Amino acid sequence: MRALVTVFLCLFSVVSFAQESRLKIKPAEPVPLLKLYILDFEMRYEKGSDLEWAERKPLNFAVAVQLKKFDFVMEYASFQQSTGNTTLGIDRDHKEVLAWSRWHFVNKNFSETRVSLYGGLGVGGYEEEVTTSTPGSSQSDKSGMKWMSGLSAGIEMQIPVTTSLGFVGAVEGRVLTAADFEPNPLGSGVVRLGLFLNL
Amino acid sequence: MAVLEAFSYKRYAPSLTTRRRPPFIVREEAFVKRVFGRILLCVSALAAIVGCGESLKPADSGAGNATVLTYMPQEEGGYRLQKFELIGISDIKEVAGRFVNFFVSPKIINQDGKEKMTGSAPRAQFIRNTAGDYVASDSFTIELFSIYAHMQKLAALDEELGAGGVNKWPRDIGVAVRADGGMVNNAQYYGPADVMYFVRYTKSELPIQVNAGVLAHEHFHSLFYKLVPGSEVSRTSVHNRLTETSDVPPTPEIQFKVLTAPAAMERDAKTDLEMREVYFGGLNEGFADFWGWMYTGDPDFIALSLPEAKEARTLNNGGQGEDFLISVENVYGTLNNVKENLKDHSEISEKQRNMYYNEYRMGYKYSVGSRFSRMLKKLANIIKDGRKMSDKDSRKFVAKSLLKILPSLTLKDVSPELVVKLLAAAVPELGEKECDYLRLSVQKTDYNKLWSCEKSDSLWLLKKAE
Repeated sequence: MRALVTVFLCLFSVVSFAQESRLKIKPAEPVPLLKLYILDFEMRYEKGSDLEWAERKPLNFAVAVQLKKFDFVMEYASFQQSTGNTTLGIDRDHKEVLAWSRWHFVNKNFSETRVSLYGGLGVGGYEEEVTTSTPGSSQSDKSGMKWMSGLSAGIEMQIPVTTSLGFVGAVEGRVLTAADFEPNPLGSGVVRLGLFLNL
Repeated sequence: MAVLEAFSYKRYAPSLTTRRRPPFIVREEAFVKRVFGRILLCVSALAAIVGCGESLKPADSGAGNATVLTYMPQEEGGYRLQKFELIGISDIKEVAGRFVNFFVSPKIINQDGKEKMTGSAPRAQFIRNTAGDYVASDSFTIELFSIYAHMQKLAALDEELGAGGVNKWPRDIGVAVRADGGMVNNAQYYGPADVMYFVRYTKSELPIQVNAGVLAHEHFHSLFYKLVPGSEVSRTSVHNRLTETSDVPPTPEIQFKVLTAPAAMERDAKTDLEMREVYFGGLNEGFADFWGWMYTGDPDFIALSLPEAKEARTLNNGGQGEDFLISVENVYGTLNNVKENLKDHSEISEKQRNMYYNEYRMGYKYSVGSRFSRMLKKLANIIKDGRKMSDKDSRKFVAKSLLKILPSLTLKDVSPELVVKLLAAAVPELGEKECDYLRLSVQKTDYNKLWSCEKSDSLWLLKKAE
């Protein structure tokens, strides 16, 4: 837990430092953006216990604050997996929260549209709940919160609609790591669609 | 050292930047370096903790014993989710240890003239709950836990029954096996490589991998293979075909006419061996079914996974077939009947006729075997009542006697008379009712000779009139 607090403090300090720098150094820079990625399509491949690859399509939401070339993203993802049959069935419910810090290292403007390439680092936690069902009874167990981290790279496009509102879309590939992931690290891809607001 | 330098750089970097007042672009580069240096350091440290640190904790490495949640049979009947301590686990991710080594989609290879199973180990998926127990997060993993748990229990049972040194541990077990012809819902023991393996279970009932009776059944085949002389030459005797549950093979086009008298059959050495192999295989299957019942107490343990097998494989009397042992002569007659009938079907090729006959022959083993499993169960019940034993103890009592007779069975002399005679001699202090039941069992089969129970020095002996 202490480590998690340290990391969040670290990331928040980065964000606040970035804001300070913008104000000091270049006040005319674009205003900060709030990005709401409301339609995210994520896909990841896990290796099952039988060594077969299995596709997961997590439900993914993210919200981001962009300051100059940096943004700070809070992402939530969850998926369910059901195996077995009616006599002995197992439902796995995976939930995770990741805080990403991303650097948009290439930025190009095409008229009003802004396209950027970015890379990011993320840390967070995940929890799994397993429900084992048999005829007439079931048992639920939780893993408790466990650490995970990730690296990402992607391309993002921002299309302003008004002076303070626009659409944002991104395609991102990442690797996620945690002690119990199989494989570790785990590959994932996400397509993000949403809105941005000038703050 | 590198870590200290990185911190040192970070601490002084802002003041250096301010003092030198570089142009904006330089400031931005410095800013990027500072910011990303910090983040990179934090995330790298965390990634190291997350990716490696947790897996290095002794508690997570699974060395030693591990308590898992699995689905186990209860003595009072039925199955229940329960905690079970797996002993001697060397790698919990592979569910490997003192009792089992698993191989996923394995192959059998020939190494130095010996057959051997090879393949990759599974990667179990589980969580650890607040109590520290391992809870499978997919059905394949709970199946691995279950197989390991039962192998551990069966190893202890072997010791208790006097077969402790027969098998080598850990056992090699294949899972998610891809068998020829897309076979599903089955388990087999393969003697030459001394391995047990499971193909996928696709039905909605109790998975075979979790079915304690089926696991005990397969485990018994390994004992039979090692204890019965000549098992290694009779490959049919070590192949269990659980789905082959009926006397009628799955090709329904052929309509049989009932022959009024058994057709004359060539009793050459090849045919004789073929028939005795069927009988031998039948004994193996029947005894294995008894072993499944002995281990679980459920006479319909197979039907829990394969309901269609209930009538043919139940250990309760009143199942398919009458309550008498099938003689070797019956096997000759029945199989010869099939052969003769098949000759009338010129519309199918010679190859198809052979296939059909072989399928029938393999299936017929179970008819032979079920009579023996029911006989052993009934004997256990008589022993329970006569000796005031618990149900469980009486089952084990008969199992011990069964183990004693295995080394005396031979392919050449196999017959119900031999089995019953050996069994009567193997049961310690055979009682009158026990002897009488065995006498009736054999008399129904061998009606040409008179069998009797005689008392000698307070012991009952089963005898055949000269």
